Amino acid sequence: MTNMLQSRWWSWGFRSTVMLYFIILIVCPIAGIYVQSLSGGFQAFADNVTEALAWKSVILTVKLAVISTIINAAVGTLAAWVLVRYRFPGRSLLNSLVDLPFALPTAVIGLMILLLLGPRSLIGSGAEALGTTILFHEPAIVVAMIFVTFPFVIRAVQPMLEELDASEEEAAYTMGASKSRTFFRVILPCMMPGIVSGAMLAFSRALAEFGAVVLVAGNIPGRTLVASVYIFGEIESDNPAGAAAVSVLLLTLSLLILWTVNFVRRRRGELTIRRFWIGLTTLIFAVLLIVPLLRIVQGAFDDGWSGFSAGISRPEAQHALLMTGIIAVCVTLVNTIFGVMLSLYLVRANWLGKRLKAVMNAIVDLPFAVSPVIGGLMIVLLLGPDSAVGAMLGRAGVDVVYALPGMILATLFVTFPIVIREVMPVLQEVGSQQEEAAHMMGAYAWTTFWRVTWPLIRWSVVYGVILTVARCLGEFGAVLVVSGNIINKTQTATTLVYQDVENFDLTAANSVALVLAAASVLLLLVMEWSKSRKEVH
Amino acid sequence: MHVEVRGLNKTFGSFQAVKDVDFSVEKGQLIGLLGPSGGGKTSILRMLAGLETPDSGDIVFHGQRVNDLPPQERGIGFVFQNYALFKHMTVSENIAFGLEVKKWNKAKIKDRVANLTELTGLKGFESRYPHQLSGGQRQRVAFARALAPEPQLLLLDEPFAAIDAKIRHELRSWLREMIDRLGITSIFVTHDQDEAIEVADEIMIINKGNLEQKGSPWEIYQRSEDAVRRGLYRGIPDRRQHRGASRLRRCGRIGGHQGPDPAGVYRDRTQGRVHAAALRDGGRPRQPHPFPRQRMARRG
Repeated sequence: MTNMLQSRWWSWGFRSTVMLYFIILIVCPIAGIYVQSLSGGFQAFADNVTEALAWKSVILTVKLAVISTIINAAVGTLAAWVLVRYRFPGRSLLNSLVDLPFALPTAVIGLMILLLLGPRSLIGSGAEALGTTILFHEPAIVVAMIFVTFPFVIRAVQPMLEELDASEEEAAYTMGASKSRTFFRVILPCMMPGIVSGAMLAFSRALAEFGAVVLVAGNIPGRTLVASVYIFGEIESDNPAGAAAVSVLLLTLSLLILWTVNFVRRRRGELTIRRFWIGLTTLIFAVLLIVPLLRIVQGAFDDGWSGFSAGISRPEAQHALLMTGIIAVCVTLVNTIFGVMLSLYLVRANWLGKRLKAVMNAIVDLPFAVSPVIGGLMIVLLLGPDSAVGAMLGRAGVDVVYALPGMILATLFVTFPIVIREVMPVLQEVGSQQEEAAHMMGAYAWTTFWRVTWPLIRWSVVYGVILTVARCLGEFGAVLVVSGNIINKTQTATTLVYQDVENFDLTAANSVALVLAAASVLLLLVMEWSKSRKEVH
Repeated sequence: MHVEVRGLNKTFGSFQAVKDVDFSVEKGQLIGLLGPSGGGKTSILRMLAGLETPDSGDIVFHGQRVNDLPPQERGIGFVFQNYALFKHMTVSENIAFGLEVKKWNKAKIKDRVANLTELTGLKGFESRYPHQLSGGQRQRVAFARALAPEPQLLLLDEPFAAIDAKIRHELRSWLREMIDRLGITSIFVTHDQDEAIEVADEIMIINKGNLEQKGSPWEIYQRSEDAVRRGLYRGIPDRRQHRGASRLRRCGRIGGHQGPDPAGVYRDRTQGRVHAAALRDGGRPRQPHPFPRQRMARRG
């Protein structure tokens, strides 16, 4: 019996630690930002939001996000179709390339687009000849948004198509339905939940995008200033109330989208032109993904090898890369442990009520939907020198904001859902019977976890860890806000790229970006490998 | 192990899965819980195992109330409907798991695993993974694994549901013989009346959470025969839809069969039981076989 008591104490300890982590990391910041923006009364909030520039930036963001989402829904559906239905050489390569925008740091993506569409580039000069400019205008922002949200629709539609049995299609043919009729009546309705939820996620990500957009938008107030950049500007010019107000607007929009996506997901359960399409898909991939990547390689060596090595060996570059490394290690460790435990609780625990589980489930995704800039702002508001907690910590000699702890915290927030979203579906799929079988044979929770559960989820955890590392390396918006971007102190690799671009030192920016991009591509390869291992078990 | 259940209740949300169920099981008996799916059989089994907590009522093993004991400490073997084999472990690792958890020494584990693989006819398959086995073999592994830590009570949840009809008969008689030989108290859940009649010593019919009937297989068979004749008892699966019914009638025609001889199953089983009883010193007294051959002959 003492044994039992002990294990009960342990499980209480674990439960409260994990719940506390969840509350501190996710719930507190969100609550904080709502409180902050409404602290001056509703009138002040309304004034902040309806301020001409703020309002214009929000409208512009929504408009461009809608455009890019529509394009992505169409292109993504097509690409998913080709990748699932057709077999052709290079298919698996394309399939793994889909995740590239997830793996690449957004600041690097911004730089790529900058180089690709700039006035000196082929496309830029072509557009100029036609009398339009792309860079620093709306089209560039749309391109950035499309690139960043490219994987969402594809990854949501693919599993639906794989599930769809060919016999359903054949049944329609035997009943005399034409090809197009079959597509619109049988196949499209099956894909619809995937398209909708993928598009929703893409839309919320497009709303939130900062890193890629800030570099290509030109940020002309009232014309190309999007909401996330506006928020950043307000923070920089020390107007947290204005930043918080716009943040709340975007945040509420994201929350609504998340609920809808969860709803659509739940409904799911109830629910020789070939060559041309393949060619088109390959072309889209090439234009969207591969060419920009090559461009950055080329850009890094614009001034020859010495330019590259000079860019890399600057002390600030080395320090920035070191900071990025430290953050990645800390964040990955913490979020992996807590992520695995929280997924276990969310899937298995019966001490959590069903409603609470549903609410937590929806909130878990929030950092995906929230703009990283808003994530950073939350932490500044909550722990900054002006806040009660921040002041207390400051007196104790601990700086959180504009120092490493704050940057780690911001990255923790941003990467929080990744491991959970990888592990939860696997836990759901394998069911609890194997664990129950272990209990019946006398194994307690600890043994059961290590001997039975862990081997089943191992590869998903590895996959989640790799994604987390990739995101840590690439995190830009949240870190930029929290770090203050102090050279040789709190500057990370991505914020250095940003600064270099702002200083028009493109070669230096390219060198650092290339290191980041190389790391991302490496991670992508490991990701593919762990994905294949995941399928074995 | 003597098992007693008193006033057992369980609700899931607003659905009452088990209502005031009382029964007791003598040591060494093989009990079949029979009833339509969703009737509460599996819930009863899971409460016995400790995987589900009853809302009220007592579960008593050997005169000791075990309600508050976690599944790990109840000394029960459980065979899951889909076997729940650890898919990342080989056959022998699966069987050894419970023994390793109990910290047996290596040599003893090796012996026990070898014994069990021999007993369950899995020799030569020790290093295979579950996905490399047939349905029948998987069931044998699940059975061996549940038996390995020497449980006092064996619970089987729809043990034959995931196996194709062809080899189901074979496995039924195999399991019956195995349990006879070991003399372990066992409770199994099924929605197939023929299966219950063929395998169990005593059958309890569970419907809509209630224990509706209790009796020997012969009694249950006769009663349902009458019930069907009168068009009553809609809760019991219609016996006439199962091949088993006609098999019971055909049992008279011994020797007149080609291929798998259903009557042979009965014959083997009867003999198996006699052997088993003879093998056990001080074995439990057996009731007469529910379908003595003479009676079958008369019916045919």
